[in-house]
Amino acid sequence: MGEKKDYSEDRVISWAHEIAEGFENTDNELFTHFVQLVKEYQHLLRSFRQVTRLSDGYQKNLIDTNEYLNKVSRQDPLTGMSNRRDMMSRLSNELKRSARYKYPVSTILIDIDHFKRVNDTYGHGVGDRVLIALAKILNNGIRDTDSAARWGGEEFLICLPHTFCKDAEKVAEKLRLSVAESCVINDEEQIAITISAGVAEHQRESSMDDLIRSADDALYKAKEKGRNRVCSGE
Amino acid sequence: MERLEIEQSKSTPFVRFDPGSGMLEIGGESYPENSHEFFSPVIEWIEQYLSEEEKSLSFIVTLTYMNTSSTKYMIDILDRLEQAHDKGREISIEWYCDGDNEREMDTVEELREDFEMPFEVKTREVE
Repeated sequence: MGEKKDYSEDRVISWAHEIAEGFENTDNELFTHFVQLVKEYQHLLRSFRQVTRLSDGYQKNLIDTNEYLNKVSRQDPLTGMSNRRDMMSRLSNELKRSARYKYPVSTILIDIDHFKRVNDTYGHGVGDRVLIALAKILNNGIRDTDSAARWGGEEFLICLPHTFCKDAEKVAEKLRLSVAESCVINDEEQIAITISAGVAEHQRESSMDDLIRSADDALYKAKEKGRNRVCSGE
Repeated sequence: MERLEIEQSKSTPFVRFDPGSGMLEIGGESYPENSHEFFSPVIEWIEQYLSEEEKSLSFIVTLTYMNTSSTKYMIDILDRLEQAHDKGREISIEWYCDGDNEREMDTVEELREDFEMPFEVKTREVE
């Protein structure tokens, strides 16, 4: 893990030899002081090397810990997706960019149909497995430029930059179909899962809260109309 | 000589020195506002012990973090202990590292190689 001596320690020794050769007689006090000085200087170099190496080690630990904590604070522990906090900051940035560069942003708010019933019937262990399975379908089903997050207990939010409402609806419909065609297996029983989705496009001058509220209203409409469907504000 | 007991605080480590057993322990985290202020009394205490008594000294380090200036004082302490060891005193060091952290262990092992006195690198249980 690196050389033990700093090359400057070798230089000090060779200088010391050179200077010592200049002394005609090595019994005198001056020479003794000189030797002492060289020893102290070598020791100082050694301490400096030790302090910097040791300190670097602890600083690196600190940086690693910070990175880990930062990552963990942005993740939903169950699904590994971004959590609400992370999505809110991401969405906020996306809306700022979209206002500046003038491109559309849409969101899809997804809710698992009758999730409470699944938990009550099969237990929370199975409920968790459903969430994990759904997260996987969503992550696989969105495009590279989209991002998905766990928004609540049984809710997920997808952010679609550079996307109009009509196209976001198509993405949502694709996801709805993928989920409807899949199921979660529990003890040889197949548990069917469906989702309802509300789609909304960001309106100029409106806030992030407005956007989420629109998506929520659309989701409500989807539930009212019978679930397992996609609705939008338009 | 009396015992030395400095309680741990948010940014300073605990220091415990029992002259009866000759055990000096420093642990916790060390990033004091003023390292010189914090460590000078500890170093003075060590020097006094080394000059007064003839007994052994074992230095146990359980610090999990130290800032750069603390590192300097810790090396200072090691230097003084090495000097005492050179003069024939019974000195030993036990430095505890996080067993899962290879880098920390390598760094302290490297430090150990600079010293002649008994210096053991040990692993501590991590919560």
